[in-house]
Amino acid sequence: MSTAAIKVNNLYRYFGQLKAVNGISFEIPHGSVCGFVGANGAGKTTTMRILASLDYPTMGVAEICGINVVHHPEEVRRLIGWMPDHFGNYEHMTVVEYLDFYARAFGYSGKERKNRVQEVMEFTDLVPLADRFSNKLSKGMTQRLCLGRSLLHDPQVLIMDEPAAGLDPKARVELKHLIRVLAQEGKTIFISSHILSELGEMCDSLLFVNGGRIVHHGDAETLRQGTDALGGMLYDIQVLGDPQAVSDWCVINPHVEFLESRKAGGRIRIESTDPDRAAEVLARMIKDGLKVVEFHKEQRNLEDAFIDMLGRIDRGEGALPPAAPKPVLPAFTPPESN
Amino acid sequence: MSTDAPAAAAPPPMAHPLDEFSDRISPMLVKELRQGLRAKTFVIVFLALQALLAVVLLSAIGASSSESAGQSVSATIFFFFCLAVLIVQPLRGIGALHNEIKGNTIDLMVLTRLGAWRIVLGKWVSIVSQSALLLTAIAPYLILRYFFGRMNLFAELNFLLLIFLASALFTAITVGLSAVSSIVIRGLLPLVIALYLGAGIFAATFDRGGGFSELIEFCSLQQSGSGWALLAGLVTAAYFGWSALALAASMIAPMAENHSTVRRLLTLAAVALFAIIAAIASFPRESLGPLLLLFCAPAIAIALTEPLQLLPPVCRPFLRFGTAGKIAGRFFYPGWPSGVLFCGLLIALAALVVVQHFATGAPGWTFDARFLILLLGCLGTLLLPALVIRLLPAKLPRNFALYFLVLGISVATAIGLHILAEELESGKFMWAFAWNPPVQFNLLNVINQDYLENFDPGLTGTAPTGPADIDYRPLVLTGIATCSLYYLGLLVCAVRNFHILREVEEQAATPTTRDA
Repeated sequence: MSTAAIKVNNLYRYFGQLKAVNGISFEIPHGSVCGFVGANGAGKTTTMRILASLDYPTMGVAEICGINVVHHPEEVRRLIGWMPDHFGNYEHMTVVEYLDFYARAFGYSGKERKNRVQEVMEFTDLVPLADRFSNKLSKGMTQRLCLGRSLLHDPQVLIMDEPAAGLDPKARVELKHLIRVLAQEGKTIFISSHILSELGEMCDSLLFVNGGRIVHHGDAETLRQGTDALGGMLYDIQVLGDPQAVSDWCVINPHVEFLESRKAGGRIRIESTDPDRAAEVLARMIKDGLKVVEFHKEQRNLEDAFIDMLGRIDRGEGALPPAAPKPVLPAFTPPESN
Repeated sequence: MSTDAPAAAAPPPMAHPLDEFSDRISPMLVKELRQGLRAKTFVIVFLALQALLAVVLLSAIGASSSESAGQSVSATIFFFFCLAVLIVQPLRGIGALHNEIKGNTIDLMVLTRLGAWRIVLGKWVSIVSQSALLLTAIAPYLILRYFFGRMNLFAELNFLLLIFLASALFTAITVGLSAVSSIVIRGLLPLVIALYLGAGIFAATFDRGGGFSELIEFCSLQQSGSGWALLAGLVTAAYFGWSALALAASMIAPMAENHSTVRRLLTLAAVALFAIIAAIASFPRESLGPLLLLFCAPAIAIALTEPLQLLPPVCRPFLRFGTAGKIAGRFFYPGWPSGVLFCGLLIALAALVVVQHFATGAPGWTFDARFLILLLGCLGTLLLPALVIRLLPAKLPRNFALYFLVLGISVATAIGLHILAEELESGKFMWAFAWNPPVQFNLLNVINQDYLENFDPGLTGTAPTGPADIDYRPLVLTGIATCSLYYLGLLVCAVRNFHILREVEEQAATPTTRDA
C-alpha cells in the first residue's frame, strides 16, 4: 500500500481537443497540507474532481490512501471530504436539518447521528445559526456549513476547491484557523486557492499547475527566497559611499553577477544556493573595502514568484516536465450531457 | 399554602428537533419532505383545495335538489382534485433533479452512501406522498357527499385511487425528465401536456354528454373486460413510471454505477412476462404488437442514446464469467454501442412473441399487412433518429434530447407532407420520402384511398372487400428495407466503437494496487 495520502501518476484528462490535465504526477504525504495553485483553466478543478471520484481520467492513475479512484470509487468516497468551489443551498431547510440530511446520507443513525451533527456544528461554530435557513447564510457561513458537511463522516483526506474565494477577510481568517486545526488533527488537506500568501502560511508544500502540467512542487520558502531557474540566489546589498562600487566589484569577481542598481547599493546574484558561498562573498566584499551595511537574501511574495515562474516558462527558460507522450486511444470517452 | 405540596410535575422532554422523521425513512425522503411540506406551492394548493371544497359543499347544501347537488359536488371535488394531483403536483417534479444538477448538489449527494436510484426515488416518493396528503384531505368531503345520495361509493373511491395512481405516473415522468438538460423536453413538453390534460379534465368533468358519469361507470368494474383493462393499464403505467425514473437515475449516476444492465434485463423480463400473459389470456392479436412496441419503445430510445461511459468496475462483474460474460457485456454494458445489440435482441424477442401468438391462433384468420406496416413504421421511427445522431458531427451532444429533436423533426415532416398531400389531392409524391418512417403511415392511407377511388364495382359486381384485395407489398418491403438499413447502419457505428469496450475490459482484468 502506498504511503502517500494522495498519489497521482501521469494523469491526463482530455475534453475533446482540450487537454485539461496533461500528464501530471505528484504525491502528498499523510497529514500534510498541500496548496494547489494555478490560473483559471489550469486544470486544478479537473484534477480535484478526479481525486474526488467525480470525474474520470483519460489516462493515468490517481490514488487516495493507496486506493485507485477509478477502480474503487466507493471506498475512496469514504476516505475523502469534498468541498467544491461553488454549490447551491437548499430552500426551506435549516442549517441543522442540512447537516442532519447529510449525516443520514453518510449512514449515521439515532444518537450517533445527532452527536455527529452537534460535534460538527460546534467545530465549525454553526451552533448559533442552527435554525437559520441554509440559503439565507452569508458566503463565509455557507463555506463553514460546507466544511462541516464534508467533515461529517470524519474523512482522512480533505479536498477543498477554492474554499476562500469570495470570503471577506474575517471569514478568511476563520477558515484558515479551521484548516490549521484540521491539519493538527492529522488530516491530509489538498487545497486550491488564488490567494497565494495565505496558502504559503498554512501549506507544507505548494503545487503550481499551468496548462494542465505541474510547473513547481516544493515548499513556499524556496519560492520566497528568490531562487532563479539556474539555481542561483538573489541578494540585496546596501553599502556606505558610492553604490557604483558594488557593480564594479561584481565585474572583477567570479560567480557573482550584478543585476541592478538600487538607491544605496544593488541587487546581485550568487551562482549557488549554498549559504557558505554567500558568507564567502560577503567576507570578500568587506576584505576588498566595501562598507557593507546590509546583505540579505531577497524575499519575494508568492504571487511575484508565481508570475515570475510563468513568465520564465513563457520565455522558454523554465524547467517544465518532459512533453506528454502521445496518448493511446482514450479508454474513457468524455461524458456526454443528457 | 402548604409547604409540603408536591413539586410541580416536570414537563415532558421535548422531542429533539431532528427526530421528526425516523431513521428508517430514506434520507432523501426526509430531506424532500422537510423542504416540500414548507414549499409555498404545496401549502397554497392544500389550503386552496380545502377552501374551494368547503365553498362547493356549502353551496350544494343550499341547493334545492339534493340529487343533482350530489352529482355536481362529486364532479367539482374530482375536478379540483384532478387539477391538484394530475397537473400541479406532477409539474413540481420538473425542477426536481435539474435544480440539484444546476446547484452542484448532486455531486455532494453521490459522494455519500446515497445511490442515484435512492436520490430519484426520494424525489418521486416525496411528491407522491404530498399528493397522498391531498387525497386524504378530500376524503371527508366525499363522505359528506354520500349524504346527498345517489353515490356509487365503490366506483368513486376507485376513480379517486386511479387518479392518484395516474398522478404518481405523471410525477414519475416529470421527475424522470427533470434530469434532461434540454429545457424543451424538461419543461415545455410537460407544460404543453399539462395544458391539454387540464382541458381534458374540464371537458370530462363538466361535459353534458356524461363524460364524468361514464368514467365513474367504468370504475365500478361492472362492464365486461374492464377489470383486465384496468390491470393492463396499471402494469403499463408501472412500467412507464419505472422507465422514467430509471432514465433519471442513470443520468445522474456516477459512471461507476451501472444502471443499464438491470434496466435492460427487466425490459426483457417484462416482454417475456407479457408473452406469457398474452398466451394465457388469449389477447386480441391486433393489440399485441402495438402493446409490445409500447413496452419496448422507451427501452429502445434510452438504449440507443446512452452515452458510452464504461469503467473497469462496471466490466468486472461480467468478466467473472469469462467469454460468456464478455459476450453478455456486448448486450448489457452501459452505452449505446451495446444498446444497439440489445435493441436487436429485444426486437427479435418481441417479433418471436408476435409470430408465436399468430402461429397458435385460430384457423381461418388471415394476416393483415396493415398491422405489419404500422409496426415497421413505428420501429423505423425509433431507429432513424438514433442513426442520424450517430452520423452528426462529434461536437454535438449526441444525447437523449437531440434524439427527441430529430424524432420530432421526422414526425413533423410527415405531418407537413400529409397536409401538402391533402392540398394537392394526391399523395403519390410521398413515396420519395418513404425513407422517413412516419411518412409510411401517410402512404398506407394513400394506398387505401387509391384502392377505393379506383375500385370498379362493374368488374367484380361486389362492394370493395378491404385489405385482402389491396397490394401492400411495396410498403411492407419499404418498411422492412428502411428498418434493416437503419439498424445495420447503427450496428456498423456500434461495432466501430467496440474497441473501447475491449480496452476497458483489459483494464478491468489488470489487478490494481488495492486488489493486490
